[in-house]
Amino acid sequence: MRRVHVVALLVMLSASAASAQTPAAKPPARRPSKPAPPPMSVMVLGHYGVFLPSDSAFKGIYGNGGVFGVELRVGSSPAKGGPLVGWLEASFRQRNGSLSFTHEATKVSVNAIEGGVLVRLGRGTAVPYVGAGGGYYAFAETNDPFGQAKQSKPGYCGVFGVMITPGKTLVVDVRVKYSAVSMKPADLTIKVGGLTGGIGVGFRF
Amino acid sequence: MNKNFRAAAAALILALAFAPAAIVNGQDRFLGPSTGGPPTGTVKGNTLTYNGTAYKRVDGKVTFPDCTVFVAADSGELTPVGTAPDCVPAGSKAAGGVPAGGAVEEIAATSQPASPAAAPLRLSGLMPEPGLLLIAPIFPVTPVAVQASTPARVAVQAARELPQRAQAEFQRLIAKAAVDGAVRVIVKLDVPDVSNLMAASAAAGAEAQSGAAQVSRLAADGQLRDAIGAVAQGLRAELAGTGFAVNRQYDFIPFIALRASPASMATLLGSPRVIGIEEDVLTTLDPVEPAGDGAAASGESPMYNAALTVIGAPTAWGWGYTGQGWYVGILDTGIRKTHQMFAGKTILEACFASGSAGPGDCPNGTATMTGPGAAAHYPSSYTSFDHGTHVSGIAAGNDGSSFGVAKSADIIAIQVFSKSGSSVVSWSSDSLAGLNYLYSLRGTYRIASANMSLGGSTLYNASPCDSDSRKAAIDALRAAGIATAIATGNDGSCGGISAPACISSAISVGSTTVADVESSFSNSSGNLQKLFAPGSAIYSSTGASDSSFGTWNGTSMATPHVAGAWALMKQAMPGGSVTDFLNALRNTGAGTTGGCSSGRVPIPRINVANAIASMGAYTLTIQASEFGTTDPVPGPTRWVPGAEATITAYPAAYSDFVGWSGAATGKTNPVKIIVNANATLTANFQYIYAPPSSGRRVTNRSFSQLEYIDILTWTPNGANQGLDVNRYRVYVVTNGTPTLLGEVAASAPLEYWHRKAPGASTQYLIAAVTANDREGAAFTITVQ
Repeated sequence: MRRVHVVALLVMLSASAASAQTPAAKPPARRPSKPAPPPMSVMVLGHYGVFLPSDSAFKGIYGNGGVFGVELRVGSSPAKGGPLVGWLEASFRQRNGSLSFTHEATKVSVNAIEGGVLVRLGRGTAVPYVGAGGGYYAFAETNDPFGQAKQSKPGYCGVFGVMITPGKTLVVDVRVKYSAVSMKPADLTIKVGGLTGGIGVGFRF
Repeated sequence: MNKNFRAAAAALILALAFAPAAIVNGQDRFLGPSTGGPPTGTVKGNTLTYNGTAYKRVDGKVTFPDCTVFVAADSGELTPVGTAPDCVPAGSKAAGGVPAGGAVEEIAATSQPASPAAAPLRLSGLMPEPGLLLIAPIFPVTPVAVQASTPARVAVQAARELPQRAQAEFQRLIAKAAVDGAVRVIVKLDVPDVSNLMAASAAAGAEAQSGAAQVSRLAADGQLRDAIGAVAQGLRAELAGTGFAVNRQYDFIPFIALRASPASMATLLGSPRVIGIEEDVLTTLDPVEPAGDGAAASGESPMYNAALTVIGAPTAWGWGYTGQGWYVGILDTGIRKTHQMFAGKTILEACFASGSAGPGDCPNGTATMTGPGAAAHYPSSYTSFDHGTHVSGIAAGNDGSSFGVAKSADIIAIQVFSKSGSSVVSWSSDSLAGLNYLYSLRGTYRIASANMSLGGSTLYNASPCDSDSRKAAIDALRAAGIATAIATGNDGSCGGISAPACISSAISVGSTTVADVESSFSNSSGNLQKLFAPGSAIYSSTGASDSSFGTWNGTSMATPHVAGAWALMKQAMPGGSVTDFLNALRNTGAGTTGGCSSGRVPIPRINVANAIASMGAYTLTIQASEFGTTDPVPGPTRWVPGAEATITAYPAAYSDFVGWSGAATGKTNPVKIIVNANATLTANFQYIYAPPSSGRRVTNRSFSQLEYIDILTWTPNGANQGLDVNRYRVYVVTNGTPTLLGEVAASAPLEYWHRKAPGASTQYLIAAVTANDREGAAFTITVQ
C-alpha cells in the first residue's frame, strides 16, 4: 500500500513536470533576442501553520497547535507554464497534553509525507491554487500510564491557497490544507487529520 | 577381639563371597591405593573417589594420607609417581599420634607374594607380609591380620574401637546375614554435633507455637535433619552396590533402618559413619485378657471405667483439667475413629507398617502413610486388631457417659503394627518411625504424651535397655516435654520388664487392680519400673462397632491411664517437664500390694489429682472474651509459688487482641506473670468490623489509549473504636479469589484508585487492619 502511494506521488510529479515542459518546447515568437524563461520552476518552501484537529478528543487532550513543514513544488514557469504543479511535502506536528482524568503528561507526534497536484487558477504575482493528493501519516503517542502507541497509515489531503511571487525568486504561500486519516494504534479509533492554516516562505529556482 | 574383630569379620564375609585370599597387616597406616591390577577410582571434576572416600585432585594428582602421590587419570586409573616431599602421613606421631576412630581398608590379596615393585606403595612401619596389600583412606587402624585362602580383592573394614556390645551385636548380625542372606538392622549414625543439634531442636519447639518461635523451630529442625540426612546419604553411597535396602530414614534421630546383605554388613562394619547397630526386631502386643483379674469398684456403673475414680481423674476434671487443648499420641494398632468415644475429637492419623512381606501394610499399600484414614485398624480377623481403639478410649475417649482419663484431649493415632499371619506385630524400626513422626508434630500440636502399649519378650531388670534405638526418640520427646508411657509387659514376671519399657527415660507402667493389688500378669522391676496404674478390668471402646465396648486386662490398659493423666497435668501446668510430672506422680501415688510388691522397692500407683495438687499452690484462672482464646487454654492452671506463667492471647479470625485485664494489664502478648497468689487473667478480644465503602468507575484516556479507573472510598467503622486500626487493605476478587491490590494508611485519605480496572464489573473487598497485623471483616463492593 505504501509503495502504491509513493508510486502515485511520483506519477503525479512526473505528470506535473511534463505539463510544464510542453510550452517550454515552443520557440520564442517575438523576442528571440532575449533568453527564454526557464521552462520549469522548482520551489522549496518552509511552512508553519496552525492545526485544527478533526477529532475533538485530540483537541481536548492536546489542543490546537503548530505544524512545521518543508515543501517541494515542481511545475512550469509561472509566466509560461500550464496550470499543474507537482507538490511533495514533509510535515511535523508534535504536542504535549494531559490525560483526560488523571491529567498525567502525554505527548503525541504526527509526521506526514504528503504529495499531489496543485492547479493554478490564474497567472500573475498572486496566483490562487487548489490541490489534492495523498499522504502517509505516522502517529505516535507516549505517556507513563499507557506507554507508547503508534501506527502509520495512508490518508488523503486537499489544499487551497494563494502563491505570491513578488520577485524572481521569493515565494510566499498562504494556504489552508485539510487531511483525513483514521487509525487505531491502541484502544481507540482516532482521526489524525484536520485543518491546517498557515503560511510558507520559499524560493523559486 | 575388640581390635581385630571388624576387619576379621568383614574379611571373612567377603572371603566367603569372593573366595581369594586376603591378608591384612594393619600395623601401620598405609593409606594409599594398592594394586592387583591398576587401582581405579572415580573421577568427577577435581575429585577422585577411591574406596568410598573423596580426595582432591590437584594438577591431575592425588596425594593420599600416607603421602603417596598418584596420577589420577580421568578414567579413574591411578598411577604411582612418588611421595609428597613435605607430607606428614595421617595419623603419624608427627601428626599427633594415633587418634581414636575407625578405618576403612581394602585388601587386594593374591596367593602369590606381591613384590614392592608390583605394589608401589610406601608402608611406613611394618611392611606387609607376603601376599599382603593394604589400603585405607583416612583412618588410623589397629593391627589387624586376616588370612584367607584364595586370591581375592576383598574389602575389609579395619577395626575402629566400637564398644564391646556393638561389636558383639555386629558379630551376631553378620552371622545372621550370612545364614539368612540379609538381615534387618537399625544403624546408629555418627552425626557430627548431633547432641547439640538435638538439644537445640527440642528446645526450639516443645509445643504449639506461632510466629518467630515456629521459624526458630523450623530452623533448628532443619539443621538437625540436614546433618542426619548428610550422614545417611554418605552411608547410602558407601553401601551402593552391596545389596542393601533402606527401610526407614529418620529426620530427627540419628538412625537409619536397613535390610543389609553380608556385603552391606561388611561396609557398615567399617564405615566411619556407623557407631552402633541393632537388629530390627519384631515386637508383639502385650496380650490382653478378658476381665477377671480384678473387678469394677463396688458401686460403679458397669458402663464406666472405675479406674478413673481410683486415679483421681474426676477430681482433676472438676478443677477444669480435662486435657483440653492437648494431644495424646497412641502408637498402637490404629483406631476406629468413628467410635462414639471419639466423636467430636480431632484425630490425626499416621501409619508406619513395613509389613512382614511386600511393600507395607498401610491402607495405601505402602509402609508409610499420613493423613485421614492412615491409622484405620486392620480387619477383625486379625487378633487384637482393635487394641489401639481400646487404648485410645482409655487415654482420651469421651462419649458423654463413658470417659477416658483426658476426656477432652485429642488423639494422634499412629499405626505401627504390621500384619503377621492372623496377628499383628511391630518392627522396632516402625515404632521408631512413629516416635520420630510424633516428634515432628511437636511444634504444630500440643502433645502431652506418647503411649506405647507394646513390648518384646526379653525381660530386663538389672539395668535399662538403653542401647535400644528408641531411647534416642524417647529422649528427644522428653526433651520437648513429651512423656512416653510404655507397658511393662504381661508375663507376670517379678524379675524384669520388657523392651522398650526398660528404657531408662521411658515412663514404664505396670498394672494394678482398682483395689491397688498388683495385677498377676504385670511384669515388674524395682530398678526400671516407674509407675503403676489400673490395668485390670478396664472398660473402654472396642472395634466391633461404633458403640462397642469391652472390659480388658493388661499393662496395655494401665499405660494409657498414665498417658492420659499426663494430658491433665500438662493442661494444669503447661510448663512442667516430664521429670516434674513423674516426680509428682511418684510422690503422691498410692501404695500397692500383692503381686511383686513384697521385697521390692515401692512403686506408686498414680493419682493425677494429687499430683496436680502437689505441683501448684496457686491457681491462675485464665479467661478469654469472645473472639479469641489463649495458650494455655482458658481455665484454671496450677503454678508453684513464684512461677513465671506465660500466657499468649490468640484472636479469632477478623478479630484482634486488645489487652489484658485482671492479673495483668496492657497489650503485651504474650504476657508473663509471676504467680504468687490465686488470680484471674482475662484476655480481651474485639471483632474488627468492615469499613463502609463505595466505588465508582471513571474513564481516563489519552488520544489513542483508554483505561477505566475504579475509585474506591470508605470511612472508618465506628464500632472499631478501641482497636488500633492503622491501615486498610484493598483486594480485587477475580474468579472468586481475592488478590491484594494495596494498603492505604488510616491517616491518609481513605480512597484507592484501581487503575486499568477490567471493563466488566469488578468486585472489591476492603478491610481494616490493626497495628497487630490483624485483618478484619471485609466490605464488599462491586463497581461497573
